[in-house]
Amino acid sequence: MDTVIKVAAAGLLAAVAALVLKKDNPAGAFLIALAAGVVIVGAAMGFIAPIADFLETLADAAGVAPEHFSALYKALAISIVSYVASESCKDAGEKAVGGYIELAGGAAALYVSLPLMSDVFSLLRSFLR
Amino acid sequence: MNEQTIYREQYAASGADSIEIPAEAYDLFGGADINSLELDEGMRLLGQGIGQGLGGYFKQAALPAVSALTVVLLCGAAETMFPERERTMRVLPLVGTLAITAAVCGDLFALVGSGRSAVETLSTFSKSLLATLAATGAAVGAPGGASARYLAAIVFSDALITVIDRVLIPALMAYVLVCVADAAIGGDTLGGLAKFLKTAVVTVLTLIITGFTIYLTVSGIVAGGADALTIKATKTVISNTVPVVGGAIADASETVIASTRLVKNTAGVVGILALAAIAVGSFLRLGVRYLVLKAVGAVGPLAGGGRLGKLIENLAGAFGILLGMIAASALMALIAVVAMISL
Repeated sequence: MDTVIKVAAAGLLAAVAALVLKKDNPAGAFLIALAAGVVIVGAAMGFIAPIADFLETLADAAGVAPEHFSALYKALAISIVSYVASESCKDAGEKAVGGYIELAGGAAALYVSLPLMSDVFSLLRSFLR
Repeated sequence: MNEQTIYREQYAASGADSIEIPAEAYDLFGGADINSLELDEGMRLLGQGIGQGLGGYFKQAALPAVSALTVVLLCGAAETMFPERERTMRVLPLVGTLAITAAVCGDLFALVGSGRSAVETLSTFSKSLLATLAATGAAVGAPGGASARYLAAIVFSDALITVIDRVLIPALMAYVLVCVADAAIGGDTLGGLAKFLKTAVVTVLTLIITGFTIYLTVSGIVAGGADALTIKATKTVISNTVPVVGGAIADASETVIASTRLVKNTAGVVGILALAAIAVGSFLRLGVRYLVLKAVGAVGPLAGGGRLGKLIENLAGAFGILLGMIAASALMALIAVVAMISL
């Protein structure tokens, strides 16, 4: 609860500061928004880490192949990073750059899932033979 | 020499008792020799074996189910964190679909192989057994009836095996692939095709079972006395226990119940127990997986992974169809044996 209150307060302060600066110093406003984004996402990671640990424990207990989950974790991490970056760019008025980041994030997420895709195709091929 | 002794001797002489029964089927009988068991004792041992083996089946089913559940939870958590329009997030369900496919389909494909071999074993064993029983039937003065029943049983059994091997299993695989593709693409674009494939497989399976039941009913092959309450109770249990084709199998089961008394008095007990032993292992393994995956699939929408939950439910349906195929083969073999014994 404390963390959420701190995150909300930091977010509101950053938003007000960025709003005040936006007219005279848009670059400064963007940097404040970006810094706030990094801090808030960093705080959110504090919640995400125990969830990831729990899921890992669940997977370990069941003897699940770790490679099946590493692709999923990597894709999730890529999604988070590209989402934060893309939203920041859009906030700075650079919608196109935000779109490119999303595209790159999507491609990277697909790339990390290639070993999993390869496993699935091998599985299907071995059965269809 | 009484009739039971003749059956036992012919059964052994035909080599039917040397047909390989899977080791795990023997485990269900606690290692006892199936050839020397009476029906009641065999059923009691079978019940005990099922009770002891159930924990192991649940453990085997838990691995792919927990994998699938973990993926659903992770993707569900991610979906709640990000807005739906986020482009990079659209990749996550695709990766989740691949992870679930890798976890569940490996198991499914292995069970399709063992299910196929169980159906073949059932067919081979029942053919040898039926040949023995037909010969015995002819020896005790009913050569015409014995040949007709043997021929009908072989024709339907072969038809079912051929259809399962060449049509139903490839169609089941196509159904699995379409479900996976549908979950990967999203938007329920291939949902109609998946539904059509499932309906086609179920319809063909139901038609064969119904055709066999109608043939038995019209020709009056099996006659016997069983009270309506027993028949109704058994039909209700079967139609609620066997997924997908339970209704059709429940209708066919009436003929078996009606002839239970006859079975108790013949050497067909050996055949019935062996058939049950072959079928029960595969049946339980598939049944437990079906139930566990159904439960995980039901949790999917609650965890926020609706698309992946639906994929798991569809894969559970594939286990259910496979289960129906084995149940149909086992019941047809059982009915054929009972019909032959009732000569």
